Amino acid sequence: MSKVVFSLLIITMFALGCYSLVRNYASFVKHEIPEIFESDDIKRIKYFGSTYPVVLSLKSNIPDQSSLYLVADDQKTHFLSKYFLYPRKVFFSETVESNFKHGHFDYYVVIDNLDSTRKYVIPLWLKFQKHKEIYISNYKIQIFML
Amino acid sequence: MSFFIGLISVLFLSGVGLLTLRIINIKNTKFIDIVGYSLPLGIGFVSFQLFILSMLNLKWTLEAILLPWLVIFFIFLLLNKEKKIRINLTKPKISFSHLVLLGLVLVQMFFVLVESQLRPLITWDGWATWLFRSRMFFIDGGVLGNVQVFYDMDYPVFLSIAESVVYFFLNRIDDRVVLLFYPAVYVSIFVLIYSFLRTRVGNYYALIFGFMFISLQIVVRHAGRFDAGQADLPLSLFFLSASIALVNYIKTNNFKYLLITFLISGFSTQIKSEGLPFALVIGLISNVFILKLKSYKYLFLNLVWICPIVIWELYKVGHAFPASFHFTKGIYVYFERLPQIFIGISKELYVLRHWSILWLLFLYALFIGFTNKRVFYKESIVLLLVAVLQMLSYIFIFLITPHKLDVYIPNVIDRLLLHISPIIILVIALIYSRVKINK
Repeated sequence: MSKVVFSLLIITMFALGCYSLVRNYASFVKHEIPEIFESDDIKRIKYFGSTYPVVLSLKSNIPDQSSLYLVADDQKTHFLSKYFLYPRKVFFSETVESNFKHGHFDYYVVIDNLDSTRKYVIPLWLKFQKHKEIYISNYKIQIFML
Repeated sequence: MSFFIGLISVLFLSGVGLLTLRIINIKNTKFIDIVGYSLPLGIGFVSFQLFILSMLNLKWTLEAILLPWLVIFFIFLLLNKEKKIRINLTKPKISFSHLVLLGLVLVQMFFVLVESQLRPLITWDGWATWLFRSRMFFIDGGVLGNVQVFYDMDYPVFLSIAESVVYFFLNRIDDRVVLLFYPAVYVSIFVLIYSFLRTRVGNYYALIFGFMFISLQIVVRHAGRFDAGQADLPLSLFFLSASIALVNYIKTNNFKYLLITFLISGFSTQIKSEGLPFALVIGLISNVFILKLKSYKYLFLNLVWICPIVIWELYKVGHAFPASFHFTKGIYVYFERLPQIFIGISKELYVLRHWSILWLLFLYALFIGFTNKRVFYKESIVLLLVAVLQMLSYIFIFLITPHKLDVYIPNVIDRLLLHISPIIILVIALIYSRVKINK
């Protein structure tokens, strides 16, 4: 009896494996074939949304060997910028001034999501620094050179 | 073109593993029986080599990666030029059912390969840790302790080092091609399961159980549909290969298998933190058998798995890595959490979309085992012991962690179970083969 039940369970699991295989291929044909012809950058925009062009704009505006203090209100911006901006060193904060140490960073970057209710107020001392303002999709990016 | 260069880089890692296996030279084994160990050994040796280069302040280049292995390879060829390489050209007997099963396995592997190359890196784990560091190592030409400290990364580095090897072959960062690494791990796991089971339950069932494992959706997801953790499937490979080598050591009392066991379990400590309890578990079981088999001279081999741990810990001390903030107030064991932990684990066992009925099958196999002791024997008991002790180490972590368990367990439990799941499929297969014989 135990052998029969054991065999039945194995047959069931094997059959479920075959079913998953067929379902995966069906899903591939239905949803994923068009992706083959898209470039990696298009796919990144699809998966990361407008955060990706924001990070790319930081990349083109900040030199390689710099360190930046990045203020933004979401973790995705944090990790993506850390990843794509390397060798620039990114220190992330969700608030404007917490942990900020003068002399430790070359740039101070504030990313405002214009759709969000949370708006960053730029600290007074930063207003005298040379800066760039860039708009990408629903983001306002302010880059201050320290 | 990038795809093929990426493929060559992964084959290089495997090739280094094969070379070391040829040097270790286990007698009376077929290629299929040792090839499964090649990727974990290759990852371990090449990462160790590059880590040592960084400690010596030497920059990594493709030449620096390749040269030592080419030298070793040619010395090996020179020393063995008398020995003829025998290639068995006799046509293996393959029945139609074997061909169908093999076809299913290959179709499954092809799917995973295509999925892995369909999109660039899209996972949090990848940006935050594993491939972020590969990117870092490629750009910096090595592991820079100060950068690791800046990003507060005290996680082991071997996996990221091994993945950065792909970038050195490509001479640029390509975070789609690098994902070829995962189908390679996937294939290696299948090969290990198949090669272990074929001599114990026969080719036919070895293919069936191998397919059952690689068709689990959680495994497919980790190998190809990359929306999950990045170090967990490689860790499964290390756990599986070390456990199989341990079983082979116990079966043959051949110290070469013990050496492989210790090498792979030592390397696993540098893949992910969970490798540390695993190395302790393997060390404990191995030493029990060393004493039981009165092979006292093998005790010194323990240095092999202890060495990578000591080097990494010294490196962290040397670079003043900040201490973990988790246990600043000391370690307290919250035994009252046990019911919550068991409920959390049980809930995951029955997630069909991850595990199919693997755990139901396992529980049934255990039930059969405990009601009919004849179906348990040394090999299945050792594998079961490894899996159970590893799981107990995770339960212990749950008992002491300062994280909130209602969030923490659902976040990690599928990955923790993934680490031991290939060992579980072996236990099921071994028990099933005994049930078949006994009835």
